[in-house]
Amino acid sequence: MRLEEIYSKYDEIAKSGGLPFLQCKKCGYKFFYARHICPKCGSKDLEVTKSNGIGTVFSWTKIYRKNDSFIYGIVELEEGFRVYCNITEDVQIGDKVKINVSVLNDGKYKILAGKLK
Amino acid sequence: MITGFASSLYKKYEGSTFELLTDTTLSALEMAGLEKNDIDGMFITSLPGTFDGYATSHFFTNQVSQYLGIKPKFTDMIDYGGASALTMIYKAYKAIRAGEAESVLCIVGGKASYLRSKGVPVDSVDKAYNNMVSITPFDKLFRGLEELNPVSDYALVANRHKHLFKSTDEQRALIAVRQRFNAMQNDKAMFREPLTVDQVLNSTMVSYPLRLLEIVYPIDGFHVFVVSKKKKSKSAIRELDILGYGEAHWPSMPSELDDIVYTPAVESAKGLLNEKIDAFELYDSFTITVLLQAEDIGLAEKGKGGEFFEKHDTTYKGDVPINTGGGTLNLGQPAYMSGGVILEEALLQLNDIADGHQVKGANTVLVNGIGGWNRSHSVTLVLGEKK
Repeated sequence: MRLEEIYSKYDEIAKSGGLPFLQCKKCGYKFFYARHICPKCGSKDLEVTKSNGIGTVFSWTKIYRKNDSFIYGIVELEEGFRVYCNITEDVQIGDKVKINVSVLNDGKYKILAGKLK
Repeated sequence: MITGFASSLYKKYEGSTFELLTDTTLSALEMAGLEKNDIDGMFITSLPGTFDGYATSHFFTNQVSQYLGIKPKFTDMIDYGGASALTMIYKAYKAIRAGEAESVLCIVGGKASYLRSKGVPVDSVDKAYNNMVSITPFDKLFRGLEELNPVSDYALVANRHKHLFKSTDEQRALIAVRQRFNAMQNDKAMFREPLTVDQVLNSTMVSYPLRLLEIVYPIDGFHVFVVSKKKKSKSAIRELDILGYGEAHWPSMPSELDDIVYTPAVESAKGLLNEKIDAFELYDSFTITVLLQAEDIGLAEKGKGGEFFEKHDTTYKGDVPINTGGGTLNLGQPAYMSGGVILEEALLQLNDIADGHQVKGANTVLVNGIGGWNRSHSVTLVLGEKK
């Protein structure tokens, strides 16, 4: 797959709120940050899959601005890969969260995690 | 050997970046007793937005040579941000030993005041230039997020360190307090008032758990180091050699590392720690950066960096002197890179000219630089005289 094709499959999943990821069919490595070769073994035999979006908070920080604050963090998905995201409410490391993706007007992804109720 | 060095640090320098670079270079050459026409090699680094406000510069090293009026045989850009200064020194020594050059300029710095005025931290420089600068190869998947990198990135590390190892905010604050004690005796320092742990803990929360007084203040300034075969000046500068060297590059997105609480200093410092080291100059973009390096260079076991600072006196008078001039946390961080500050402090110590904050009998100093996007690069140098 060329990178363009990977991103087109990513967008299809992300436009319905899902979190896409890549899996290497040769070594099994799973990763989110899209490349057309596996960063571990170099294979081009990759597959785009939709994550179930459920994971745990790996780390978080609350950033304070003049009049508001927001939360930024890393979530480890059940499938075994991690993503940077914003988090909608106060959390602790290890909390279970569900991720929702939206595609912004400029094509960039807004990845939001909220506590799994 | 390093025959000359100079720095010029300003909260805001009103003139041109070329001018500031040139004046600092002339001071360093004067110490070495060299003329600019002696220069036959040049290393430099630059970050987007730090050179007169331009996002980037076309054929940057050419522009610098043009302005300086020098004709080096080779010029090179070193692209490791804060770690660049140390890489340059190593490469300059190598070039001279190989007979490829006799006098090499190593230049780090720029002006941070432009981006500072835009309210944009350096790792979000894309936001000051309408996305005309890329930050990662994955910006589509990453730059839609709200963050405050590099502060928020290091905050993630500090928070996870607390979670995994039960390190405390007080332990990190102690690092800021000790460095301030050293800065109080350093007339180059911007911040010289006494500081307590409570003051650090009560300073404005920027990105939990990192508070304002744990974070460097970006400034305008340059450090220039001259490495040359011979010195022509009568200055009493010592004939220093690189006694130990290590370098490591971890370019992954930190989320793809095994964990985020390790830095590449684990590899770059391997085998370099010994009892002969009299002082340590560790990269200090944030308090947590210093704590991580204390662990990763082997002063403390992983996870015990906080306890290490409680058990040891790390002031310039102490049993393990660290960041003896107060570090960038107190001098300010020229153009978002601390490498020049820690290297210059090592040279002041080794030449016994660290007025007011001199470590007694400093013969061997370990310097560790961390840089690149999200701690991707580490360089460790042990400097001293070859016996």
